[in-house]
Amino acid sequence: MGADAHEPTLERCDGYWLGRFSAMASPNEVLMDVDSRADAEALLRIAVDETRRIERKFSRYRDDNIVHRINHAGGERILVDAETADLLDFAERCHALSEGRFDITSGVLRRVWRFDGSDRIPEQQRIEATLRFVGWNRVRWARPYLTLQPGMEIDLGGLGKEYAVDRSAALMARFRAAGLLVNYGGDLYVTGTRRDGTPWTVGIDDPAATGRGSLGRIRLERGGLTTSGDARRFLLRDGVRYGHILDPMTGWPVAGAPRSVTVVADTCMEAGVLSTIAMLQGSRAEEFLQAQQVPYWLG
Amino acid sequence: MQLTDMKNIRRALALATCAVLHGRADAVAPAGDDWHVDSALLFYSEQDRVDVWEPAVLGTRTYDDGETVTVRGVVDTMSGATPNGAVPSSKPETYTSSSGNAYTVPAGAFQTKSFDDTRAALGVDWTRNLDRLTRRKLSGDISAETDYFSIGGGLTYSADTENRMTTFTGGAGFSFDIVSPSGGAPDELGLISAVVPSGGGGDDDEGEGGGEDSIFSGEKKYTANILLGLTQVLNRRALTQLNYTYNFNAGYLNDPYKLLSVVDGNGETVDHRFEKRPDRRNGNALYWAFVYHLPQDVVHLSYRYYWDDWGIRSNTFDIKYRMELGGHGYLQPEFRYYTQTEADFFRYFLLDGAPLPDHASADYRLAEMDGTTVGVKYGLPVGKDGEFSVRAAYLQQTGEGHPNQAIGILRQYDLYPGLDATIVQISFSTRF
Repeated sequence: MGADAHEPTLERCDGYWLGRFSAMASPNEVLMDVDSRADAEALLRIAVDETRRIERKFSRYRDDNIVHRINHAGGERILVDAETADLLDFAERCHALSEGRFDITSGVLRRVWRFDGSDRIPEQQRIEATLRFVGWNRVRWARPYLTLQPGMEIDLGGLGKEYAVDRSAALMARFRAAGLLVNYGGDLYVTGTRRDGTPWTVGIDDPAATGRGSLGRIRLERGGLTTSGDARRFLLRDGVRYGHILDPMTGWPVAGAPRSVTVVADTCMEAGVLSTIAMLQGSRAEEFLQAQQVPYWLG
Repeated sequence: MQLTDMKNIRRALALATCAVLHGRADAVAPAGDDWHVDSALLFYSEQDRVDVWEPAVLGTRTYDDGETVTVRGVVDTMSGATPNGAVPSSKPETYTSSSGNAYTVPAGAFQTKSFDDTRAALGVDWTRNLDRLTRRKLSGDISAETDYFSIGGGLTYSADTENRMTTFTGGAGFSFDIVSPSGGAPDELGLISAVVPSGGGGDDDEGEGGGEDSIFSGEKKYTANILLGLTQVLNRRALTQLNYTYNFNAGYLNDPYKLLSVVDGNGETVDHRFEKRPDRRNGNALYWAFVYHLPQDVVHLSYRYYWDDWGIRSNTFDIKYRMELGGHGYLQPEFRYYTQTEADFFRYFLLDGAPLPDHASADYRLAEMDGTTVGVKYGLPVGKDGEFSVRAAYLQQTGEGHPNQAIGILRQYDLYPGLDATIVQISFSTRF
């Protein structure tokens, strides 16, 4: 298959091994505080295999997986496996906990909103027409059976990467628990301090100056960290910036949301859901984060 | 008035995350249609008594819709000697049995009976999701050994609450057993000296059995049980479980190989009688368990209280601590303490000439006793889904060796056959 099948790479850094590979449309890194190359290779292999498995299974860009079957069922009931069911249960909980803001069916709004930096705002009529296909409350989920109305779609992309981070970290830790840091496109998890007892240091990118500025550095001993934001994906019209975070209830970008929200939580999945819901709160993002009593940074 | 109406959803989110990362998916992922196989070899050895070799295999297949089928297979090979219930005596004792076997025990020693047997058992569980929150498990079991046959089944329902923090379980099971002691079941409380050996001679008329050695010709035993359970996730680290079990037995509940010594006023054995237990037993058990996940390690605590209408009350305390060795597997020390009261009809011996009680047994397992188990297990992950483990444990059981009832020469002897056993278990689990 050749050209785009990037092989994982492994290099020795300052006292740790750095493995890199691409999957889920992002650059992924694994930092491993182990001595031997063989151990690092084995750990990286675990991470790559698990991430590619999750990508194959839950990517909505493939036509041979459960997500494709669900999205093309034409109103038919689909039987899902236990892992998919667990993720759907999780998504359902997130929908309830966010009072309808976190919604894995909101992806169809992308048909009308294209965040390409232009000023093309869709017509309200089109947005309303599309909104009829959005809403977890329109879905019938009776584990293990899922029934979508024709035209509706689910997208587990908002959970998949964080899930892959936590799963990879858990599987790698079974092999060797010593300081591991998993970073998939900025969503990360740390299994524990490095062997000398020092925590890993993570820099938080400033969305206003990507790659050049930093909002801060955080020393992470254990836990997950994610950043949600719209640094590069937005529309600008009449001086109003429309970020790519869409409110599934109005069909419009959330107003007043920070450019980025970074959250630290016990797992990458929790951090990811909290940072996403914070963005969905718009101008009340900080208020929401304060109520959660988690460390956070706004960009 | 609150400053903000924003709700803290962290705890609820943490629980939901826990379910998706450590819940069912962990047990069945990654691929659906695989067999997950656990195999184990257990060696149990009682000092100077019974040795048991027990290879076991358990295979679980999980289908795409979460349906699972589990097949369990066990073979026990038992050999050695087990106390027969008789008290030590100053003279060598010889025993006979209705099958014509005879064995002799030296003076002063514990009275034991040698045996050699193999048991094979097969079980199948079938679990399926009825809907999003409820599951049903059907199970069937069959086991056989030379003088014993058992068949049983069960049905269990479990339901999760909407937030999946609570699981209710309810189930019922039954089993039907046939005990066919070699030579037929002995007369209850019958004198051993009255037994006519049937093995050697041409004495074929055994009465009721009539020579047909059909598997159904033995003594029958019926068991039914009911289970009610509650599992509660307390927070992302702690889980607790409470179960109640009711167990009913009816039919032939004797151990056909157990005896009671008949002693005279000096404590000298004059004869032996076979035991007789009630033909019904109602037992209840309450079980409580608590699991706490520290950042790395896991603590398991459990307590069980059992009581039945034979007068037995028992308490079991169990603690295990799973210590993660930083990627080099785990070490799990365990400690267990068991204590029980004796059955109402338990006797160390019967007095010659005294009226016979309604029921009597000298089986040491029905006596007052304490047991302590100390052990450690080492587990090592193998590959992505496999695990290899070795467990070694030591069990010590003690009882009242010098009861007040002891008379005459019996005061010199320890009347409770204490037990020291070593358990070694090697397990390997993998996915095919």
